[in-house]
Amino acid sequence: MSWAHVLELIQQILISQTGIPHITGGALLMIGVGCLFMYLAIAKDFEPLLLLPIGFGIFLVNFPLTPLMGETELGYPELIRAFYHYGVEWEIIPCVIFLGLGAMTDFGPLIANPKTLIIGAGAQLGVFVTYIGVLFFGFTLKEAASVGIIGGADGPTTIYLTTKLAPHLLGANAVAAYSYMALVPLIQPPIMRLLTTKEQRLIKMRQLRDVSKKEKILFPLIGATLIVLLIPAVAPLMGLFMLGNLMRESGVVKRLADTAENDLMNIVVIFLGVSVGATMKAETFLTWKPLIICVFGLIDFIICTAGGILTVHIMNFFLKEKMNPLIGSAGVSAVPMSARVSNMEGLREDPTNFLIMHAMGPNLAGVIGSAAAAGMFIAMFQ
Amino acid sequence: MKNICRKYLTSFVRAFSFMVLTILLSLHFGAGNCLAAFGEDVEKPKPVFSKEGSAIFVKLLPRGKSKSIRIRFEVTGGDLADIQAMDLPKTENSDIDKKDFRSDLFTVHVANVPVGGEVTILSSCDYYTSATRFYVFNEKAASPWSDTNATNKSLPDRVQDLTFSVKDGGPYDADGTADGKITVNCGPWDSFWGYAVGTLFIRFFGVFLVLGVLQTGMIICGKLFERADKRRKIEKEALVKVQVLEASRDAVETVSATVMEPEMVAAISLALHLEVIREMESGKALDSDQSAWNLYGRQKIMSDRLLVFNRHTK
Repeated sequence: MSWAHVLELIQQILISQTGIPHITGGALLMIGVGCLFMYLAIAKDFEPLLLLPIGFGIFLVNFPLTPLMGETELGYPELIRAFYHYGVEWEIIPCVIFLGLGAMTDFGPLIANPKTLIIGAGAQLGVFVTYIGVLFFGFTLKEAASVGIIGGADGPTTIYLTTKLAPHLLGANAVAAYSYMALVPLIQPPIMRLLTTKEQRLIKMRQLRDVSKKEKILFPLIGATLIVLLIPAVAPLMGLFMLGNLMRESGVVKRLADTAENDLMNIVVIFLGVSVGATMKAETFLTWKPLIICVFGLIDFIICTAGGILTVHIMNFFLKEKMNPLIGSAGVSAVPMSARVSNMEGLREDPTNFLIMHAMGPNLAGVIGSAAAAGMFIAMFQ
Repeated sequence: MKNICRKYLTSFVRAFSFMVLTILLSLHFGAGNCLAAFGEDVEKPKPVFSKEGSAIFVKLLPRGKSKSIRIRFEVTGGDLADIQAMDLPKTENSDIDKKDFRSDLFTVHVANVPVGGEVTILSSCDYYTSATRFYVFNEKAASPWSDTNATNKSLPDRVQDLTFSVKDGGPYDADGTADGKITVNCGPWDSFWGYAVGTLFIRFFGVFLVLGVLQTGMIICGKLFERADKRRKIEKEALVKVQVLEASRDAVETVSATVMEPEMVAAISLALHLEVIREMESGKALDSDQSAWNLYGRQKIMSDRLLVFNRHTK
């Protein structure tokens, strides 16, 4: 074998078997984005449960020639592609997350004050405004719906709807939704102060009534019946959500409820994070659309927050016992972050005014509202 | 709180700046590809044609839908020879938007038409609405796009029939000559913005409706539970009252069973009365806790209680 042959062999190996010659500017940028997400998660504690696996997914998948998101010659999906295909495309992971959320959720505050459900509906205003807004930027109806749902501040719902309607926007939508959810303590307070007067912020609400165990057990059954009858398209999400809650409230399957809210949830979050990150390959992600999604996601959150507060103002016209409008912002379903923000804003004005339990009602209503909005969109495109 | 806000703000500003920078750099790296995302018709229907008898069926996934539809084309007055999919022609007419043609555009070929004769084209589908119109494109005409004013008829199973006439060599005939063959570039038209805005309101109020129904259901259930709890509470209270009444009756019976001399009762009453009068005169009556009578009473009660527990004294 001559030197020329050896050099040719080395060259061939370098070109066909290593990624170095194939690396592109776009891929390097995306690796940078992945590193940024990991930095935010590790150093700044910024939604670490999701941003860390998402960041690593972006980081990993943007290296050239990696057998991660493609298919083998025999047509089998490669590793992360398999996670994505069976977990996200088959809509399993978002629904399993809803099962865990149901097992974590105490619907007591919502059952004690069902009026707050309307706040959850009002807080979906941004979803629909954004839907129209992005249509002006050339998005298709399905893309617009998937971007609009970001304002619902519900990660699994966003992922579920985006996978169904615009899978190519999954990475951008998921990142926008989770990022803005982490920024709720920053985004909401100025809007809350802007849309309320000092007197309104000082309103003290009557303590919620006690909710019996029987009521809590019946709620998932009644809730599932009514919601699934009206919007069958949302049955996978709401069905598992209510199952999780029934497991929790019945108290007879503590092991299952515990698994759903802890171990199972943690497992699927790993696969979800990596899969979502892996969809953000340079060639599909580096377009104008993620930037527009980023901007409209923020606008969406702002309008949803305002929508919740305005709904409380409207409701107060008709109610004898006025509600504190600060709880309206909790209609954005970032549970329990937005309820905590409402409480903090209430305590700022009056250190004896604890709104946390009152704000949990609209907060949980927001979860149902965003799922209902997602169901509406799914039904629209059927 | 300020520190948390500052922390979040700093992270947000950094993340946002990085995102903007990323996008700008990516545009620099490959502007053509990036901007193509806007012009790219990602939802363009891909129709599949099949002939069944004299009719041709088109199966396609329309824009803004997740389920495919079937459109039936039929012709009277000639033979429906072929139908092909057609791209939206580039014209200066800005009113026409590809998004309005959700079910694509077609080129319909009709043969065996009497020269200069007229044929009727029928298109039916359950995806059409009563507002669906049929547009024809003829680049040779003064105004290339024209509404055929097709008759829109509702049939069972939500099927809409759209019918319009085309004359051989007439304004809708793309070949422009009366030659016994008709070629029509046409497509069903629905207002994109009308649909988008209309459905927006319906869906938004739909969310209110769903949560409103749930709210009503929960209020009714809550009232039922509250009523049941109230009834249970009243029953419990009544039971307690009966028990208290019985207990007090027993106590009264016990007290009344203790026989006291009338002189003794009169002496105790007089002593109590005199004590109260004395304290009122000395101004101590309001501070009843410190009256000698009171203190003596308490001491007596406590001593009596202690006796019960103090086994050694017995």
